[in-house]
Amino acid sequence: MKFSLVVHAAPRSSQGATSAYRFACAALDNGHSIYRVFFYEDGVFNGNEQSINPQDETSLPSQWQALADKYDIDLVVCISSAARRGIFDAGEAKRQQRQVNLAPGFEISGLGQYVDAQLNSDRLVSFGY
Amino acid sequence: MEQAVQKSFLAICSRSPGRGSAAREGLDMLLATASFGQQVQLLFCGDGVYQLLSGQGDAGGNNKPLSASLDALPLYDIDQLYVEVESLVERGLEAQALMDNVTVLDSAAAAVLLHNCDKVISL
Repeated sequence: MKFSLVVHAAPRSSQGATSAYRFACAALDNGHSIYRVFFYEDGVFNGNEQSINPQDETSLPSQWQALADKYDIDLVVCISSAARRGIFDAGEAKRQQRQVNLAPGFEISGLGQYVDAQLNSDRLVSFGY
Repeated sequence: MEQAVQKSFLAICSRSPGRGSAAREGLDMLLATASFGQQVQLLFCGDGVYQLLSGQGDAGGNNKPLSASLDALPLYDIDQLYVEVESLVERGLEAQALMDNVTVLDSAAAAVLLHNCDKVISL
């Protein structure tokens, strides 16, 4: 099956973001594909390159990056949610006069990518309300 | 993106206003969906019914309730809003206290609505 995920929660605000990552891993291990992971609302913080974790804690941004790299997954951060929360890629940082902090492997785009995921996936699962 | 495909979406709004920009961002998801030619209906239940109280402001903050933005929906051909009557009764609310153009349903009818749509999203 082709799955897409929507992540609404930041790595540390609830279990949701971790659950999304684990679901993605389980789906891939079971032979399914991930069409897109769309990060919305506080979920955009999953793409924050600037966070530093203690050595005995995992880093969700790094985990998402590794997964996307291995399986060629589309990680999309919503542009309006990101702007509200101070997450910028190079293009947006220049346009809005801010610092770049979007982790490599993630891209910034609009809700059209969410609608496209709804229409082109067998299932869309949301995490982190 | 192909616009030949049209699916019916039902958005279940079960959460209250006053959660920062969550209502606004939820609405943006619906408007985007509708603007790509998809059919969108809304079902308000649980604490989501508070989104429909007419005359709400946001005390000058960023917590605009859905009712303040709902005037925009017909522009996107989103004109079917439903509210679950059991959720109103549980909260001591009368249908008259809600904004106009909302259809009251019982939970059995709401279940039929869910069954008949292609995609269900939660806001």
